[in-house]
Amino acid sequence: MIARVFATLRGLLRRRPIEDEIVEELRDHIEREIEAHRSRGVSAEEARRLALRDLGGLTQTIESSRAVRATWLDTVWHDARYAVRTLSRTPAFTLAAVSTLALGIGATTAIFSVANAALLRPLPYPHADEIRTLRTMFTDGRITSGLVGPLEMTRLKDPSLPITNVAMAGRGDFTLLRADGTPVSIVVSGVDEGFFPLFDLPLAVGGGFTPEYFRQNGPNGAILSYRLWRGAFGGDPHVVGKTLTLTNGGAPILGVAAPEMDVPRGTDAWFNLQLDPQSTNHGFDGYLRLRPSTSDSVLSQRLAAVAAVLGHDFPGPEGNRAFLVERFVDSIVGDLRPMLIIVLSATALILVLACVNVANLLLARASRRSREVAIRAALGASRGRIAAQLLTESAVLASVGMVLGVALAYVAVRLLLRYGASQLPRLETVAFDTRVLLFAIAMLALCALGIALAPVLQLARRGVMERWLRERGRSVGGARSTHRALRTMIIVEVAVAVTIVAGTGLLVRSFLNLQHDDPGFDSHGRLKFDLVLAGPRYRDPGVSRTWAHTLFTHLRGIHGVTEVAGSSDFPMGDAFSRLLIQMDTWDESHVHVVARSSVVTPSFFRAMGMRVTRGRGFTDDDRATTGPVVVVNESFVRRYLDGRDPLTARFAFGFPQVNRASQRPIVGVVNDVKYASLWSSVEPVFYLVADQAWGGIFRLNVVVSTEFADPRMAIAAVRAEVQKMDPQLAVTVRPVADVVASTLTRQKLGTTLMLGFGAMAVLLATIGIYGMIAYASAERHSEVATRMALGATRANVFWLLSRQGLVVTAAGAAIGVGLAYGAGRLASSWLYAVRPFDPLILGSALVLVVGVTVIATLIPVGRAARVDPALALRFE
Amino acid sequence: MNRTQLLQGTLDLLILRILELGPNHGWGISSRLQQISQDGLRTSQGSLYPALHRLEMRGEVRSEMTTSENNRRARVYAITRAGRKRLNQETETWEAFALSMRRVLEEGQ
Repeated sequence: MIARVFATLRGLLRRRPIEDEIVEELRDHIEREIEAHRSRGVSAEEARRLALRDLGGLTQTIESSRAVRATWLDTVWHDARYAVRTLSRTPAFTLAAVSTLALGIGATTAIFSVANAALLRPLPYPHADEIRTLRTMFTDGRITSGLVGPLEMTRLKDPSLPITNVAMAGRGDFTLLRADGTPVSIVVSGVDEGFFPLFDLPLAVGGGFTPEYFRQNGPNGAILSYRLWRGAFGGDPHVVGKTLTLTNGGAPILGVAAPEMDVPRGTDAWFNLQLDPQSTNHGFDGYLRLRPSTSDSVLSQRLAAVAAVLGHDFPGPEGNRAFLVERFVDSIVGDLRPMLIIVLSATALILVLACVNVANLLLARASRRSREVAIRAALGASRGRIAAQLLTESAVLASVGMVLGVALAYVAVRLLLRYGASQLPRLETVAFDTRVLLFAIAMLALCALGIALAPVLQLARRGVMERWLRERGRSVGGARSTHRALRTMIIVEVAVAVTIVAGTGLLVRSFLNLQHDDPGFDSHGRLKFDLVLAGPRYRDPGVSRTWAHTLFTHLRGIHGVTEVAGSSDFPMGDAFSRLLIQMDTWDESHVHVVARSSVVTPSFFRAMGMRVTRGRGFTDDDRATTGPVVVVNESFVRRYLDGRDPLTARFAFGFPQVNRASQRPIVGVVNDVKYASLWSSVEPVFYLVADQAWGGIFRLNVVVSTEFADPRMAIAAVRAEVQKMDPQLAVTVRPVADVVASTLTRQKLGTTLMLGFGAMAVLLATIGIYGMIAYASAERHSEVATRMALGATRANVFWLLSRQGLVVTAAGAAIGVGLAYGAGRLASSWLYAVRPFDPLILGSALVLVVGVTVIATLIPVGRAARVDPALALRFE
Repeated sequence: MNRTQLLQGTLDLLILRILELGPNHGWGISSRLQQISQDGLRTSQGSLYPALHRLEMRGEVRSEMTTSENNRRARVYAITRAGRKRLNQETETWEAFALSMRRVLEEGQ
């Protein structure tokens, strides 16, 4: 046994191929044999003849010796070299096959690497799939903010629960003063002790919070976001120990968070919260990390039990409260699984198309190579041996295709990054990681198997080789089974192409719906910019108000500007502050009811193109000195007024407690506006007018409505007016439409990828069908010639040859429509306002694919029908 | 036991027997084969080499490329310990088989 292993190893280590050694050995034998014959007086020629005769078939001897000695590795190596030789002898075929595979593998790998970064790993936190967001709700219909409080989190720290970490964060807007006194508007989040451990990203600089920071009367500190550190602090490596100065306080800097850390979204700095663990103040976003391999249903059961105990212990604030958990990834990026499934299925289908095309080429070649295969079989090659050879050949093709494809993918991803990196948050992390490489290798294996399958299956059919021998490559109808396989493949190609094109149509339609969906305001012809007035010259509230008023007057004077307004928040920015409210008719049990609030200048609704549906909007007469009023949105009316006439209602608001003195009447209702993103649901909002809400102005979102189709024309003028007022203020002016579009980047990426897929599918199907029909027509060359010699007209022949292709295309199209419908039904629940059976989309897909296919059929058929019968028959 | 197997086994045995006398190259083994069997057991020279390679893969013979007289490169085979063991075993088996065959044939007479 050991001797055998060594013999094998020696065989492997030998540098010279086995054949050479065997040949050398046999040559030695023959020379000696000739000498022996010659010494008995036989003539040289006769001696040579005898020696060769006695040895038997030379080739056979070499082959059987090789079979004995060869290990599987030798066989693979031998087959691979043979494959390279045969492939290099047919460069056109090889080029076609390799480039199809390279395109297929390249496109799928590129798309996979993007999907991997943007969709598959949308969150940078370790084991992000364990993280959940935690909210609360009342089970008795009372209305609440859904935020969580310290007492609840204290209870959830019970180690018997399937939870490894809990954390809270509260977000607020602040103004940072840089060393030179220039103000920067930043988002600051207060976090509890569990927060940084839960998200588990190491700090980029410094040590972070220690437990004493979270004790009552402990020290204060701040952790900067990587972005703020690079921006406001210039990436200062000695930033720890310096002070983060805000207009209303400051704290020593303890460290810089990891570049990827972004919870709550948009946070520029984190402060330590010092909370009373028994407080029932519901003012925080809750997070928890699920113990690994625990199901969400188990968690929900355990949380329900905790909520019941809490309700029993604190019937007032905690009674009838329930916990709600959501996967953190869903709360951040929305549910991306549909997009992922659609994109990955399309990838798989594209690969099927590429494989079918190459399998076709191989099949067509196999039937041309039938003589070679039959001869090898007759010489004693076993069926398995021939199959292994065919498989090796396809593996060689697929390997070359993979190498080129990965190179192609690399280039494609670089291009994509240049084009879209700024559009998509996580795209900069697109990398060729192990997952992508594994994917490419899996693609290689699939392709190799896929493209070898057809020829090998054909080989496995009994009698095929005998028939190949008998037909001797001369055929009238071509090998029947080859034609059946070709027909099947055309059907597959057409069906897959129709499915992908229809799927692309659905996704594009969904995207367009989303894009053209009414966000509640008009983004056309409008510009927006942020204004932060926090230098020493704006310290006096009166000065800052007059300043803003003067700026607005100047901006209104710009040619083409129709309206200018300011607001504390802007849609698609998700920065509305949440305040507690108390309706005049509510009793004390309605605690912690929250609505978003926004402070606006009087002309805001007009400047945004919003509609006042009841009562009135704000006017310049709503001043600090007049009676305070409030305008609410339609959601506010639906949710909190319970059928009551809104114009008769009054409510008070405040944070962290409702301020009774703030009670004011509702004077108007405006339409709902989508805030976080276009697909987010609308929330109750109330609007206050600036003069009745603010003393001075620190931060202002300014919207400028113009009469231009492209508002960019007014950007320079707007910027100039701001600079004229304060040369140190540099503002970034963007069209509102761009702000809206930036919320759709992931959807846009998915749609763009699908458009690429659609084009790719049509291209591959066209090439494949063209090749197949051309091959089938060429096979029937002599048949056509015979028919024409016997008097068939060109039209007869044309119809004869194209009929089959057209019938097969129709069958493929029918199956494709069925598949597309099924896929549409599966996907329709994920797509935005799209019906699974959209006749326009299915019809267009059908017309496009069938049209292209028919052209791909008619061109080679037309060429075949122009054959000169005499020439063709002579050739045969 | 079919015919090929019997013949193959016989050929292996004869090769091992020849190599027991001393290392030899392919042609040498082939001519010794014909001498020993006095041309009575004619084996195709073509089947000799696969058999040699098979024996080598089994570790019963080993081979070496040598440069022999008049600078000719030849592969020389030698029997190994495993080869001797098999030869002994097979010789016994063969003798027992031959004995029983003879008995059967003599009884039949």
